[in-house]
Amino acid sequence: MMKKKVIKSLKIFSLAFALMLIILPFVSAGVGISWDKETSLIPENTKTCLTYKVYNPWPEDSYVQIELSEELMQIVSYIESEAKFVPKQTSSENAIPVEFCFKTPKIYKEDCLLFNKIICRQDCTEEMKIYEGEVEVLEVGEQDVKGGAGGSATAISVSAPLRIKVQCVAHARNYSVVYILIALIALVLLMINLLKKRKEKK
Amino acid sequence: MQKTFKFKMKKKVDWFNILLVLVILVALIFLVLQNTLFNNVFSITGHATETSTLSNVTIAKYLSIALCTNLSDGILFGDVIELPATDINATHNFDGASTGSTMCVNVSEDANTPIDFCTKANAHLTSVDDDTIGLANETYHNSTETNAGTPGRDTNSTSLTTSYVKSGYAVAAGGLNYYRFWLDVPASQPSGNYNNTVYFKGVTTTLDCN
Repeated sequence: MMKKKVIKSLKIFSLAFALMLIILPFVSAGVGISWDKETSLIPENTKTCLTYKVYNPWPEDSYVQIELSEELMQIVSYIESEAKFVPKQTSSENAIPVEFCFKTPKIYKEDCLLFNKIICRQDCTEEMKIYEGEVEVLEVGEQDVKGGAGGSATAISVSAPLRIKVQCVAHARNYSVVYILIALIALVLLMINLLKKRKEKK
Repeated sequence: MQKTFKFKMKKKVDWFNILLVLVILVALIFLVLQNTLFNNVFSITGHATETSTLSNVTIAKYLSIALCTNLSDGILFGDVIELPATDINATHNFDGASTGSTMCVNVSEDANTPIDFCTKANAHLTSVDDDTIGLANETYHNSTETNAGTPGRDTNSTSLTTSYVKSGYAVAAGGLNYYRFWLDVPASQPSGNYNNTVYFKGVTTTLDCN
């Protein structure tokens, strides 16, 4: 009788243990990245924003942070700095967009007639400047070694490539300033003449 | 009477002023042309007609990874009682089925590109009192399958570094990359609790670790 009871308890315990193994997740929180653009052609001296997406098809919620590699950080003007919550079972189809913006610098030298700034022409003879790096999505959960023992904590991330090509916009020499200046001088002379005439009449 | 009329006409016409007005007009015309016509001077013009249709394709890529629970808990080497100690096994090196490793990184089935893994550590194993066990003493090996001998402590096992190094190639969606870790502790090592952080990064196979 006693033996039967022990066997029954053992069976229940084994079943409970097996159930626990099934229910408890085999994996930790995960990270995912989805993108449909690896290269972006942006005119110089222009601000533009790009969107990548994050997802988490794993059975635990996760918090992620977006980081750009060093070379891309030179031209970044906005990036979300706070950790983003990505709910568990978020598939790639329902990925959450993350936006970051770049302001491309003025890179290509113009051929100017005055003061290196006025009456300029751009032939675009210089080689195209490309900022190359990666977009990294890091999982920012706790990073402690369990049980306080010595050893290494672990962390994960995923990354996607990104190239920003700075486009040179060619243009002919612009004489607008000269035309405006001539028109202004002529206008001033005309006004002086007319005022003189009016004084003479008086 | 005629003489007086001629004299009045001469007085009224001021050629210099007319010239100035003309200069202003011409300058304004050139200004407008400069910013409209001259800008498009190289554009093709003509009477040919054409029709067009849009051709478009979007190539999307997505990948996701997660650590197996035993690896997410950390790489633990337990208490070391005797020094020097070599090839100390991490606690989960052999506790899987067929004495395989249970430290692994999962690639989600919700991914459409194979993944390379990159691994690095942030620093030497360091105690709160700033004593260190050099990273060269913390070694690992990886494989997409595991059993008693794989991943093995052989010539392919490498030391962790502070820069990312590839540690798994073209792992397909739904696949696993198993790891084993070992630690050497020199005889002169001061006692204490030593920690660091090991990073695992998933990248497309075309991308370097950086």
